[in-house]
Amino acid sequence: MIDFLARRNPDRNAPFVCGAWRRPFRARRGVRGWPRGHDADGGVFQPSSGRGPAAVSLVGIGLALAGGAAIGLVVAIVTVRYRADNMVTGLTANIVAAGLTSYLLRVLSGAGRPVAIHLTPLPPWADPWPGRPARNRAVAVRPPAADLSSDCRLHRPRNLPAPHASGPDFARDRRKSETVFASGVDPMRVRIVAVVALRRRRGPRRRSAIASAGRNLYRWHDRSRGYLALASLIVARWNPLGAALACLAFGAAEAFELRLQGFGVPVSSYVVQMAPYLIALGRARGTWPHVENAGVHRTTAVVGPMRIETFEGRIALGR
Amino acid sequence: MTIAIGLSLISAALLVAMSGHNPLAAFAAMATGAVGSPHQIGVALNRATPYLLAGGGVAICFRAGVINIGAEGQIALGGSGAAAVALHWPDSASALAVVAALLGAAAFGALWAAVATAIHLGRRVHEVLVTLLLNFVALLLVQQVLSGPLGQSGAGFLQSPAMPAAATLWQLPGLGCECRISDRACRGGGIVAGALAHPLWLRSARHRGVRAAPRLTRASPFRVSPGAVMLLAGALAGLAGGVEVLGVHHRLIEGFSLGFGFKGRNRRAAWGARASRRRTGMRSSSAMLEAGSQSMQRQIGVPSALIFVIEGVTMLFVLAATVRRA
Repeated sequence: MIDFLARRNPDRNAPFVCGAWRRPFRARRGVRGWPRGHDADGGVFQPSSGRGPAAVSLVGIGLALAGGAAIGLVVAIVTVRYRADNMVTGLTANIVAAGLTSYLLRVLSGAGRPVAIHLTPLPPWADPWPGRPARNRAVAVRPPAADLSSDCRLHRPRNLPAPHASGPDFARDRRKSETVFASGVDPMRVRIVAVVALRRRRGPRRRSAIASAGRNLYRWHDRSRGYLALASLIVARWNPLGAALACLAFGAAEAFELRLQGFGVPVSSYVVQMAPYLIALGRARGTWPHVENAGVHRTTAVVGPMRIETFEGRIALGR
Repeated sequence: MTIAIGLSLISAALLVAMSGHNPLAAFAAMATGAVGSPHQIGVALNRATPYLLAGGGVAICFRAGVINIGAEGQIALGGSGAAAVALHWPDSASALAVVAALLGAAAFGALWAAVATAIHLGRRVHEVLVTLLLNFVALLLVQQVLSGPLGQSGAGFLQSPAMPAAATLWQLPGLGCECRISDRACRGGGIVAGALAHPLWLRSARHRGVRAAPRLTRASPFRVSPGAVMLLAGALAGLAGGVEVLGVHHRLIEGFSLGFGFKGRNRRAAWGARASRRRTGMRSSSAMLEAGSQSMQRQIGVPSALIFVIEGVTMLFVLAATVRRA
């Protein structure tokens, strides 16, 4: 049992970790970390990672980084430059990326044939520790290792200026924004860099997801891992290290669910799959009342700047 | 808007040319497939139904200041409710079975929205988080139900038994008569959805006024709580799921709701920047393009997934253009 979990869990949790660690970083720079699910953004450019020079792992990772950054740049321009809503723009980018992935899969893999999709399987990643389960360990180690530099930033002191325009604590955010403006930093530039940098991390997440699941790119390969990453963050209350631990737990649950019935445990695998979301909902208490204490706060909205006001103890959004 | 659509079409033309096909021929095939015959128009209406209903519910929430992105789960639960009622209705030959099944769908959708509202208000959790996470719980619940009480034993997929004939939606005369797949197309849900969505949209303007302006609240006789708005949106999304199950698939299928909720909400959000009278038409146009993309794939060989790129890019351009102008 332990051996099974040790071998399978890294496969599962590496994409979670890559997806989860980007969100606190973004949030500290004023960008809400709205979840991206299914085969979004970084997956767009990954069909090419199974061909030609991308057979080398590092090139594949580089392409994955570029893919995530390219979609991130689009989202950054629309949300920061044109002040469109983060959530709507991010989820719209999902539609674009999913469609583009599906389209490119067909175009690249079979001259436009819309039926079977067969790409050259990705090569297994090199094993840094010979004699151990090769692919699993490599998948588990490399993406987080590639994020070490960002991880250092995750632990930067909170009192450093950051243009945190939206988030749970609006009063603090407003003070920070004012600090940034006073220091002469261009908040728009910082936010664009933050969006691009953190979308970039989705590339390795996709790459590790593909590498762990048959080493081939297929539709829905992501299996909503972006949302599981969000759930892990909520469970950890936006703490990166706690999120990593939650990812380990969720990865274990995912690896364990199919074996559960084999052991005669009378629990449905669907219930096991639900568990992360239910736990996250249980842990998410109190993400809302900060708004009430903030008085009036300006944020971006679907159509234009919205105002969050309170009256009679309730929240009101208006323009 | 014209510029946004034009730019997105140019982007799509580049992608088509990249795959070695003629963009003009591809677009012509798409247009023919969308509105080339009464059957195709019926198919487009059929596809537009869940978008109209779910998008209408989300629109009402947005106008009322509540961000509801749980339409996907509400559609799934609505479909389950419709299937449960239709399969267990005592008189399966009665015409009331359809009405009861649709009511069941709306009730299940509203119930799921009520769960989200209870968590949102009771535990003070942001509604975006609640509705988003409950989507996945709902999808897994449907799978659980399909592997248990509502499942068809011996089936290779997670699906329910076929609905009784009396519990399936009726066919619109004049649109379905020439259908090669007449039992799967041209159901009346599109018209019903259009008839429902527009008045509700106009009505929601009052809701928005109530919540957005405290002064109006004091002067207005309307008192709308977030819970009521969420329940209404949940009922509409559930109805969309019921229409999909009773009118298209004729059985509850695993994953039948995938994409409807997110697309409906995003389209509403993107088109929401435009004049309100155009929104229903925009959602219908998107559905027509989706119907036409199948024809494009058959005739020209361009993958139908291109349509999602066109829609997404158009929405991005609309978002950017509208907010900038605002």
